[in-house]
Amino acid sequence: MERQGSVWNLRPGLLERARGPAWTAPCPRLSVVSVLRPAALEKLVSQDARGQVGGLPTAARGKRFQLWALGCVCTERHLAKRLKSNSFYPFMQQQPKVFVLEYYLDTLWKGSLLFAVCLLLVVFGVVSEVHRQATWGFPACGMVAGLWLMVSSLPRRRLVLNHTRGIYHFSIQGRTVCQGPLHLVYVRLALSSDAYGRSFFQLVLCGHKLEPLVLVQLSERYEQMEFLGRHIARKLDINYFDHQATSYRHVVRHWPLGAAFSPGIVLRRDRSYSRPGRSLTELDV
Amino acid sequence: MRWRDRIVVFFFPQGLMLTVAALMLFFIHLSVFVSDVYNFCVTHHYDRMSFHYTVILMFTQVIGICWAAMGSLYAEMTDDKFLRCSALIILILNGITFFSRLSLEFLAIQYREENH
Repeated sequence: MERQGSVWNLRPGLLERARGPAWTAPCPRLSVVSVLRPAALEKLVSQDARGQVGGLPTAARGKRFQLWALGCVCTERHLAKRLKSNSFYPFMQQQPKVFVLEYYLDTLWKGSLLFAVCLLLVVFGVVSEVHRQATWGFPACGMVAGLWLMVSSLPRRRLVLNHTRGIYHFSIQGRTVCQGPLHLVYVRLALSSDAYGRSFFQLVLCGHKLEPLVLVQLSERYEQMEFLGRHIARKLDINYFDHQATSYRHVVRHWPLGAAFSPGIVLRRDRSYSRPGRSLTELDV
Repeated sequence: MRWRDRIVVFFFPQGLMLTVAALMLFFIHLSVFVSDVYNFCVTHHYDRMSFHYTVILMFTQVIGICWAAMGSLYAEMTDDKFLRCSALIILILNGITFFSRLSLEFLAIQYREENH
């Protein structure tokens, strides 16, 4: 637990005090000796930790496909390197409290590839007839599926986190899909395990009515993943949740409206506590 | 969301797209089935039946059932009663078409082209 204390000094007060008694619950992966310690990861991330401000039209055009590479070859070192150059990764900081993410879904290249391969198969007639059965229908189905995947991924998605108004805004090609309070967007560590009991973790940025964005695909190192997830959530000022539903390791910065009045939640004497009250008066939800 | 917006982002609600695709596949399979039954029972033109496309037809029947089931699952997660009922009906229709096609292929198995 002492190592945990040295990492969370980055954000004094809120995290440490809120986690006082809860650190007695042991982390299940703490005994695993990992190659890259969270402290080293922190150094990798914070060396050039300056968010890129402004310049959205020019700088962001190349950034729209950044999530594709992260979907293919994503280890946590890769994400840490990206965070080093852009500390609000994958968002761009447009104004001090406004973060914008524009992206295309990765089904764009998958659909295009399927369409191209099936088109070649149909044109060259490789599998057009097998034992007097007309099997050209299979690549034709593949073409239709690939075309649909490609066309459905062509509109550009845009996710805006607006802390000054306390809302997030998700739109597809300029058409608003949904807009809501910030407690509905979060970074989550997801767990899947194989038949031998080994756990694999996945870092996902998701929310209500949003398309889930996978930041790290598959990793066994719980501490690095948790560190990266908390770092991203702290930089973007959104909630972070652990893989378990009930856990001491959740970091909740935004509560649902009216949550401050529910009997089960113990009120913290903290400056961040004023946020629910402010959001109740300022939000016109 | 207004319906005009929903048409523009037509590909976004995944459950609805799957149900619509399953409905289109149902209509295609229904038309092929009706023409096969017509050629088998009424006009007895067995060479105009769809024996050459049996493999791809069975494949698309199964895919249609899978998509209808997935669309029905997505619809169950919403609270829209109309959507849930229609998705379930489309799933049942696809299932009926599959078993009808299976029965017809079994009945017409003697009438396939002979290759020696």
